[in-house]
Amino acid sequence: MTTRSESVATGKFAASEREPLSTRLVEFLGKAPIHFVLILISVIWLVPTVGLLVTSVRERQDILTSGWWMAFVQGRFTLANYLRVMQPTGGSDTIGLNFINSLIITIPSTFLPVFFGAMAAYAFAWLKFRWRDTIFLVIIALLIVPLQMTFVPVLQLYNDPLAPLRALFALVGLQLNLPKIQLTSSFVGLWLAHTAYGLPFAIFLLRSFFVGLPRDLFEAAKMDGSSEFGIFVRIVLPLSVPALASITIFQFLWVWNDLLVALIYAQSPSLQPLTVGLNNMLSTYGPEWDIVSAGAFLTMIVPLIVFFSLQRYFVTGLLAGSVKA
Amino acid sequence: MATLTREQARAQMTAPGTTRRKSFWKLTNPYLYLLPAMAVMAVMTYYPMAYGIWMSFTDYGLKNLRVNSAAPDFVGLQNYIAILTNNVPQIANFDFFYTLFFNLFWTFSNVIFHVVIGVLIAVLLNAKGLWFKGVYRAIFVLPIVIPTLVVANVWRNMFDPDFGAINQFLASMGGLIGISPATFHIRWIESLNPPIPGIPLPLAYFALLITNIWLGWPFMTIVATGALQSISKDFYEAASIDGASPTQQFFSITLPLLRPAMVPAIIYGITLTFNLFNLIYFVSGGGPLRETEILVTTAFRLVNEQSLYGVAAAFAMYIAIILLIITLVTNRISRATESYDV
Repeated sequence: MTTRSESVATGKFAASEREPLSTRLVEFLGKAPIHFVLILISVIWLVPTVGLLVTSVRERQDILTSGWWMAFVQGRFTLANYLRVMQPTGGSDTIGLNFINSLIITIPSTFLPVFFGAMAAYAFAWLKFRWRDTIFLVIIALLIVPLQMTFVPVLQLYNDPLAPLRALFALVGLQLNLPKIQLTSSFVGLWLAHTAYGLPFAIFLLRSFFVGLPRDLFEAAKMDGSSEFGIFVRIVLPLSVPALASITIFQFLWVWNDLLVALIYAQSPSLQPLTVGLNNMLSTYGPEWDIVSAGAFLTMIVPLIVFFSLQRYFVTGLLAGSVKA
Repeated sequence: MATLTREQARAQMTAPGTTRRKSFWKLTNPYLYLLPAMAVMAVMTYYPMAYGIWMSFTDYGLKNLRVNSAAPDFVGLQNYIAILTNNVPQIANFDFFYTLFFNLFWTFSNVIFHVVIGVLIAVLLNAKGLWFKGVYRAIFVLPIVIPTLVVANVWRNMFDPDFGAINQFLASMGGLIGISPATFHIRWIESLNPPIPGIPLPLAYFALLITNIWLGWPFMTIVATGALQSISKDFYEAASIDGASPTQQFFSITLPLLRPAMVPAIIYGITLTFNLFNLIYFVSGGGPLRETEILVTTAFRLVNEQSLYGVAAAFAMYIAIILLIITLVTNRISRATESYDV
């Protein structure tokens, strides 16, 4: 229905650049059924999030006695839940520390895979070498391997990462006193894990974007005597900002929202990110939604800001991977 | 030295030794770009995978995790056979084929909803001159941004039989037409009786389905919107001149041209839904009686609750093989229907 009436409408108004407000209003009203459906869906899709936000600023007694939508009738709001969540509950496991941990974990875990992935994707897209397609396939195959498969061996490696070196030295008769380190009590272990788990998707997405760059640019740069790395840094990276931005957002959201990897590799409480903190809170406070909803909203706030400020790139990135130019 | 002519310089540059160095550099250069990525993945994914394959043939358990512990015993195919014959007494009601079947059904029922709703909404959003497009899109994509842990717990709370928003909403709606609120004391997660007679799916499956539909279709809408925008308007103009109805246009222009974009998204959606750990683990916990358990949640229980690392490794091998088959089959089907393209 819409398609036909539109082609008529565009035919009629093609002459004028911008139609007068009245006609646009008529068109808007003509689309009322579409708006009705979309608004209805929007409301349903906002309900859980809004409910969570409203619950987090209600008083405990109100939460227990009535649904969150009653808050607008009652008109009683409070920030007490947030203050309570931020308070240290003995030891070091506060939401504030979790928040800082989340940042420390997420920032390197986002940039390392994006940069390493971009280098590899460039090679797969524009350089010729032996086994290129085979290696690419071996990397892409990782997209369907469940992460859980790697947990136990990696944990064992993390418990004593220098064990292979020590064995090697013993083999050649060297008596070196290598320090005993444990990656389960350091952020490095988490950075490595997230980098490895994020790389296959980063390589896949960036390669499909790099392949679409115009060939002439590379030839021109080569004529000018640019090295391969020079081309990568000065031409490929600046031209791929949309794709790089979107994979950055993806990886950021993935790492920030991750619970499983952090639960397994960050065993010392001083390393735990927000999601683990929230998970602990859920098991301690259970049905106490005044506390839990405030904690949940604090966990969400950074992804929400990142998403809404970079939304445009998020969409183009999803498309770069699927819609081939 | 200073009188080195251009000819001499060129001769030096093309001397055999230098060329070899240059070609050596050219050969290794691409591999240098792969080095950082491959080094991390070798340690963090390929080595553990190889280790996991070895583990799946042993009785690896908690005792072997300690430093300087004895090597586990080699048990051959025992773990693989134990899983297929449901001989895993540590987990109550362990049934590999039920879980596999449920996992497959779960995946495909979800993805069908995601794709159909996703494409329909994308078509609506693509209506020309529609106001607030950006606002709608931002709201719809919201579920992707929120941590699954939060989503799962909010929905679990909403499904609560006594205080959950869903039952309260149903009761107040029912109250308007005179149905007693007690009718809507629905035990969404715990109820054991299948709501549809003859179909052995617990109510928890439908609760999970609702949650995951909420979570899943926006991704399909984004992909479909991008593809729709790249379809030339000329097709529609030509079709409407030929007198094709909007429905005909949808089926003979829109759908076929969406296909190339949707197929990778669908394959991605299938693998994602197949391994959707967080949602199931936190909403239903696999209950009631393991009826909504999927393969990855079972693997997680084998590792984290039972420390049966050998069995879990074999289990993970099954998951990888099944996923590989699904990906190959989906790929084959999509290629077989490719001639359908305009």
